[in-house]
Amino acid sequence: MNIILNGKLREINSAMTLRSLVEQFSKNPNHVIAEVNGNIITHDQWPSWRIQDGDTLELVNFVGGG
Amino acid sequence: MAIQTETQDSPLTIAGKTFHNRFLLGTGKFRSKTELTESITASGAQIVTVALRRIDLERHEENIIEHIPKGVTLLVNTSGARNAKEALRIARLAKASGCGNWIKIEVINDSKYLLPDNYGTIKATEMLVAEGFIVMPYMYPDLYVARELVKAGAATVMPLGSLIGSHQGLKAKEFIKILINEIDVPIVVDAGIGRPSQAAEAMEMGADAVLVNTAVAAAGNPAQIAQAFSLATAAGRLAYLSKLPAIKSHANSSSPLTGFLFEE
Amino acid sequence: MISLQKIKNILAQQKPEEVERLAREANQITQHYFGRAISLYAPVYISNYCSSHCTYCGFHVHNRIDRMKLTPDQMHKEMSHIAGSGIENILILTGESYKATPLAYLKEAVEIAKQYFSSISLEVHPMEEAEYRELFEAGVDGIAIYQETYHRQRYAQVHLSGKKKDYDYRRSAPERIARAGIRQISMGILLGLADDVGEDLYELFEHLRWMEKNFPGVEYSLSFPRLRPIKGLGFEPCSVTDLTLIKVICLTRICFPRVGINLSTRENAQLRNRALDLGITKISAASKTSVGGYTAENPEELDPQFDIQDERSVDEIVQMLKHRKFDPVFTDWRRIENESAA
Repeated sequence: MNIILNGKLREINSAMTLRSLVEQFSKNPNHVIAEVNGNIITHDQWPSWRIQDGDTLELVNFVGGG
Repeated sequence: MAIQTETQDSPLTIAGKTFHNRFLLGTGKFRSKTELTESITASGAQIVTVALRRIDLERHEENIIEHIPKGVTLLVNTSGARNAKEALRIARLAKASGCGNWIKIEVINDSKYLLPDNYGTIKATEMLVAEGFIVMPYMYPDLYVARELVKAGAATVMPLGSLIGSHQGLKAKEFIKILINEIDVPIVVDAGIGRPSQAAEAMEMGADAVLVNTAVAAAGNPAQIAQAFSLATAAGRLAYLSKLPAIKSHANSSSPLTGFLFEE
Repeated sequence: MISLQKIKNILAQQKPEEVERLAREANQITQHYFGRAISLYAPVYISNYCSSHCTYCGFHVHNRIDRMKLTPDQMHKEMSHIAGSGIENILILTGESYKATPLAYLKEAVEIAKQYFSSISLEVHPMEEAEYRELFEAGVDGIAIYQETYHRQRYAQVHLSGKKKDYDYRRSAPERIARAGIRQISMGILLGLADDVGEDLYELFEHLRWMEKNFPGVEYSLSFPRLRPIKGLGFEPCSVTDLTLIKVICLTRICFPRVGINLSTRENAQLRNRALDLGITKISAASKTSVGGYTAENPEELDPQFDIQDERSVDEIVQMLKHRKFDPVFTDWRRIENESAA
């Protein structure tokens, strides 16, 4: 399955939930914010949220800033 | 380290929350997370700014939140937003994280000077206030714009002292003074403060708080300079409260203007 | 904003050197912001009907004076006489009677005044915002409304009946005036009413500060009429010395560098001349304070609101100003169209 993740094309496993995807990229998923196709998906929905082919995902978290 | 002052000063109050430390710290550009944590602790800063970025998919970096002591208020900036709509999007993402809804609006469509777009900032403030955010807009000191920001519901107004990262201090001093005189919400001087003496200067003239980032993060000993900044902020505040005497002009012996009042 | 204590300290200051220092600061600020320009205006009383009882005023409702109200023809006569002397700024005054001088009457006066003067101000009873807006659209540039005293207790003691008794309605008038779009607002206190000048001045300053912050586009000016006892009224004003008046003017100039300060012909020529150096920016000339007083055959039979102490003609005032290197300004404002912003 192909998705656009943080602006880049990526191939991922079809069976992935949002939760498992985030866990792949972050040690602390609780502070990651996920946006799927322009909509923010809250943490409680992640375990059951199935990623679709062609989805655009943004995963953001907090970094230092002025 | 908390600065203890025995003065009769009311605490800094923003959106109903009180703070006894008027020194705010930005968390960008630190060489290491350890230096950041130590700087926050050494200065006793109670409000720090953070930003939102796409997570680094290759490096799995730790979230900066882990390195900020509990109890410190997070002020999420909308850096990266070039207009009000983008600022709103960032704010919503921040809110979704559950890390509070205090937003420092930065609408900057200028990569050369990083000057804030005052008009985009007003629009962003209106949009975010409507969605319940606590809004602290970063702006170029313009009295009309400051009034509009207050009207739009901003919790504070944050005029720049000088260009971000320039260490030029209070180039906009006279215009910040006007805001201090005319605007009733807290004035937080942000950007361009390069030395603790400049932070003291801002507080002495009546600013309610200062925000410093680059000068601490890029220093040789960030924790130490952060402490110096915090002390200078408190010293400036104390000086302001003590109402320094006005600089007097010299009198001379003749009284051409009012002599007639004392003639018999 | 200056503190009450600082105001009191300055008002208590008796040392000539300190007073001179204060004056010098006021003088420098005035020159800095106003240059040498002094605005000239004249008052015209068109009615002395009044429905309120202010114990210090000769026009009060129970005082037995001849009540007069100018007809349009009489207004023409008075106004053309004043305009003939070169005056372009007119201040139209009435006693405070909502019945005798309602909005329609005031608007009529404004229409007539427009034929003779380039700038029209009114000093009349406080009214609603919508009424002020009608006056604005009719061509009124400025409204003068003095709180007299901000001390509530004293206010109640001297305003015994009528609408003027309503302290808050009067105090909130400047706000309504500003909302209505009027460009110039004049506020003030009567010196000699409340015994604590410092407190009254402080309250006036606070009120002005609030107005400045909320209606920054308005041009403000302040006035400090000094009460004199009026024959037969039985009212004893508190004594206010020349020194105090001068200090009030200097303080005002220092605290509000851009606000106009007005000094009427209540004060004598020498004091008025001196005060020009210290912050006064507006003076009246050749004033008559009785209804129809400019063109009456026997003006001494009329009842003035206050006695004039400076009787110089407009020409004499202009001569004095020029001699002292001031710049007499008859008009700095010419109305084209008063359109409401809303």
